[in-house]
Amino acid sequence: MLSDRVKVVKFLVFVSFVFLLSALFYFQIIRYSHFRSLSLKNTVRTIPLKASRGSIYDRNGLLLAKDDMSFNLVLIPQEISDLDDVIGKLSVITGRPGQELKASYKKNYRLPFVPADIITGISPEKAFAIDERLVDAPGALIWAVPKRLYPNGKTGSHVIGYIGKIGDSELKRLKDYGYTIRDLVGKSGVEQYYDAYLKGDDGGMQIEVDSRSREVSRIGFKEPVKGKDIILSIDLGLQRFMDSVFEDKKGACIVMEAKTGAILGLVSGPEFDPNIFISGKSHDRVKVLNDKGHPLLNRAITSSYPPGSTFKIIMAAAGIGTGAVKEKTSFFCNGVFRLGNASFRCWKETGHGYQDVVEALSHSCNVFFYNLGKALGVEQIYKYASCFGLGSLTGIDLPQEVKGTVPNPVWKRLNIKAPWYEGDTINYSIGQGYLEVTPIQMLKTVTIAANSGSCPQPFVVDSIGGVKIAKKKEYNTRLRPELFRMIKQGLFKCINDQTGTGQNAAVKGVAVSGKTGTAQSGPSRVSHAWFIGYFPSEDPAVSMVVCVEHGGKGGEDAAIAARLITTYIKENHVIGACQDSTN
Amino acid sequence: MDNFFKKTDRVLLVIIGVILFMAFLALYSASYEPGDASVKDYSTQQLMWIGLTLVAAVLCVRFGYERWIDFGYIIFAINLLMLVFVFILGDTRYGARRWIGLGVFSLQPSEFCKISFLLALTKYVSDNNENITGPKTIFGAMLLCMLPVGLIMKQPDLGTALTFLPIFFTVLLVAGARIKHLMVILFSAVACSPVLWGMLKLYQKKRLLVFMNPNIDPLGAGYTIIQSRIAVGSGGLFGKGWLAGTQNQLNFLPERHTDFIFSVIGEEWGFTGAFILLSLFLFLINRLLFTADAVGDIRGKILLSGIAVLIWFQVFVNIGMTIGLMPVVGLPLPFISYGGSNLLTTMIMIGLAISINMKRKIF
Repeated sequence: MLSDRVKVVKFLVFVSFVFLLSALFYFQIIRYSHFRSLSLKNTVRTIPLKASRGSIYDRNGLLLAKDDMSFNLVLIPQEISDLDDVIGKLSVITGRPGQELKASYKKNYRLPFVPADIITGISPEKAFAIDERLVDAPGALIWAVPKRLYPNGKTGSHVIGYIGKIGDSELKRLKDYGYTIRDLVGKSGVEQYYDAYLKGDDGGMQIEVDSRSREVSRIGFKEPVKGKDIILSIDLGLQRFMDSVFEDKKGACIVMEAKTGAILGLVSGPEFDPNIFISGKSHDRVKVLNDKGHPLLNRAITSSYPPGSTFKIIMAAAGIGTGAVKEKTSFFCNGVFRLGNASFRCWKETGHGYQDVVEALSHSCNVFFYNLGKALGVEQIYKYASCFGLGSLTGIDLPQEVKGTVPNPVWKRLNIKAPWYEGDTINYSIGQGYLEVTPIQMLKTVTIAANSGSCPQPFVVDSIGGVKIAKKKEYNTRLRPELFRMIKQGLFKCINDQTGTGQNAAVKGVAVSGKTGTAQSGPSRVSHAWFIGYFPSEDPAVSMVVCVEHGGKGGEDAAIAARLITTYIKENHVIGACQDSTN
Repeated sequence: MDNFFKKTDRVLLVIIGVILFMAFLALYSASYEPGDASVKDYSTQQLMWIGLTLVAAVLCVRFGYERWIDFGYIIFAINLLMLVFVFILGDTRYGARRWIGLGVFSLQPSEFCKISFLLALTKYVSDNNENITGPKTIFGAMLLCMLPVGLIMKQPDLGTALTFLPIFFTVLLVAGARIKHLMVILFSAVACSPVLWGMLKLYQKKRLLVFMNPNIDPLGAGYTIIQSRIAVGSGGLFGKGWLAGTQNQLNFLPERHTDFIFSVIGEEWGFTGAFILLSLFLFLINRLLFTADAVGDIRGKILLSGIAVLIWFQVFVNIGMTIGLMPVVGLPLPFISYGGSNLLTTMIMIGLAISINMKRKIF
C-alpha cells in the first residue's frame, strides 16, 4: 500500500514535467518566430515613464511646489547603428559641439535599452524644432520628463524641503518599495517626510519598433500614476512676511494655532532656494552646501540652544506645583545672589527689590529664580522640564527633529564625567548651563502655558490627496490648570506693564502675553535672543517662538519681530479667532 | 574506499555529473563579458563550491542517514535558532534578511532549513508510525511545519517558505497518513489564503499580481518575466548557440546567474537543450523515487521521497517562473543556479540518498 503512494508521487512528477515540456514546446517551437523577432537587436524599445510628483499647496490653495514638464534629448544605445554618425547629425541639429554630446552620452550610458541623456532641460519650442529633424538620426528622441519647480524660491524652504538623486544608503533601504538608482527623493522637509505619498508610481512601456524606429506593436504598458497632492497648514502670505522680518538673520521663528497645533509659518534663517538642486548650476549647489551659515539646517527643529529666561515659565510652574511658591511668596533682589564664594548677578544691577512670582516673570528677575532653584533642587527642575516636553521630540511631521538636552546629575556624570555642583542648579534656574532646547520645544512650552496644561501635537501637513490627516494626540502635562493662573498673569504683565521686559512685543488692539529670553552662548559671543508668546491673552489662538542666534537681548530684536508678525496676523485675518479681540 | 564506490549508486552520480557540467557552461555564458574584467566570473567560483559541497556529500554518506535522522530534532532546533539569529542581526540582501555573515562567506539558514525540517519530520512520523492515522499525530506534524514557515515568511522569503508544503504533504503521504486528513489540511490552507495575502509585504503582493499580468509592470518585476520569456522563446529548436544568446549577452536579463539561469539555457541551447536538461532532472527524480519504492526501511523511504519531491518542486517552480507560468518567488534551480548555500543543501540531500541506497543493497 505504501509503495503505491510512492507511485502516486512518481506519477505527479511525470505529469508536471510533461506540462513544462509542453509549455516550452509552445514558446520555443510554435511561437518561435514571434519571440525571435522580439529578441532581435533593436526591436524592443523600453521607455520608462516617470510619474509626476504630487504638488504641495499652502492652506489657501496657493502653489508651493509642483512638477513641470522638461524636455531632454536622449539616445537609445541599442538602436544606434553608427555612433559617430548619429552624434555628427545631432551636433548639426542642435548646434552643440559633437565632443560635448559624445561625452554626455558616455557619462549617462547605463544599459543598451535604457535611454541615455544627451542634452537636458531643453525649452519646449526648441524641443519641437529638434524633434522634427530627428528622423535622420535613428536612436535619438526627444523625451518629456517631469521636473520639480518651487515657484516661491526661498520662502518656506525649510517646510517644503527639496528633492535630489537617491543616495546609496537610501536606495538600499527603499529598493523593495520600487525606488531605483536614478530616482529623485525628498531630501528634507515635507518632500522627505511625505516622500512615499508624493512620489507616485512610475510607469513604462515596451514597444516593438522596426528598423526605422517606428512602433509596430505594444508589448507591455503601465500607466504612470501621479503622486498625491499635499495641502499644508502654512499660510504663504504670513510665511513670506516672516521671511521679510527675518531677512538674513540666523535663527528660527514658528507661528502655530494654539488650539489645533497647525503650524502657520516656520522660518529657519538663513534660507535656501530649493530650485538650485533641480536646475541650478553645480557651483551654486556647492556654495549652499559649504555655506558657513548652514542654510540647509532647519534651526526650528534641528538646532538646540540654551533657553535663557524663557525657561523661567517652567521654573515658576515647578515652584507653584511643588508648593514652594505661593501667591504671597517673594524673594528680595538686590542685584546679586551669593552661593559660597560665588556670586550670580541679576540682569538689573541695582536689583528689583521684593518680587513675587508674577513680578519676577514680568521683570525676568534672576535672583528670584536663583532662590527658587536653590529651594527646589536639581531633580525637581529636571522633573518639570521633562514634564513640559523638553528633552523629547514634539513629533512634528518634519524630518531631523532633535531632542536637545535636559541635564541632571546622572546625565552630567555620564557625559561631562564630573559631579553636579549647586552652582549648576543656580544656572539651571535661569535656563543656562547644560540645558539645550529647540525652538519648537519652547513653542510647545509657551503653548502649554497658553492652554493651561496641554499642547496639541504640531503639524505642517493638513491633508494628503484630499484626505485630512488624522488628528494627533494632544500632549498633556497633567498639571492642574489652576497652576497656570499666576504664570499667565506674569506673562501678560511682561508685555503690557510699564516695567515688563517684553514691551516691544505689545500690539495695539490685541492682548499679547509672552516672555523674553537672553541666553548666553559662551564667554565672548553675543547672546541668543528669545521671545515666546501667545495671543489673545484671555483665549489664546496663536502661539509663537522667535529665536535669533547671537541676536542680543530678547526684549529687543526678538520681541520686535514678534510684534510685527502679530500685527500682520491681526491685520490680514490669517485666522478668524483673533479679529475682534481688544485689550 | 573501493568498496565504498562499488556500493554507490553510479547511475545517480553520472546524471548529476552531466547536470553540473551543463551548469558550468551556462554560468560561464551568463557571466561572459568579453573585454570587461570587472564582471565576476561565476562559473569558476561555482567550481570551487562544487568541490567543497562534494566533500560534504561524501561526509553525509559516511555518517549514514540513520544517524542524521536520529539527530533530526537537534539539527532542526539548531537551525531554527539560526533563523531567529538571522532575524536579530542578519545581513540585509535584496531587502530580505536571510543571511548570516561569516567573514568571506554568507550563510543562508533558511536554505538548510529545508533539509533539517525534512529530517525532523521524518523522525517524527516514523517514531509515531503506529498513530499516523490519528489526528493528533497529524496535528503535531503541522506544528512542526509552522515553526520554520513562520520564521522564514517573516524574513521575508516567500519561495523558500512555500517549499515546506510539498515536503510536509509528501512525507505524510508516504508515511501512510489518511488521505482524508491531508485533503482537509489542503483545503483549509486554500481557505486561509486571503488571510495570508494580508500578511504579505507590499512588494511580494506586487510580484504575485505581476505574475497574473506581467504588463502591469513592464519595467519592474514584469520586465524580468517578459524578457526571460523572450529569451527562452527566441531559442527555438536548437538555440542561438553557446555564448551567443542576445538577450543574455546584452544584459537584458537581470539575476540571470541565479534565479533566471534557465533562460540562458533556453535561449542558447533551445528546446533541445531544455529537453535534455528536463529529462536529466526527471531521470534523477525518478531514480530517487525508484529507490524509495524499493527500500525496506520506512525511514529511508520517507526521507528519500521527501528529497525527491524537494528537488522536483524547486525545478518545477524555477523553470515555471522563467517562462512566466509561475510567480517570481525567488527559488533557485538545483545544481544550476549560482550560490553555495543551495548547492550545499542539494549535495547533502544527494549524500543522504546515496547512503539510503547503499543500505538497501546490504539487505
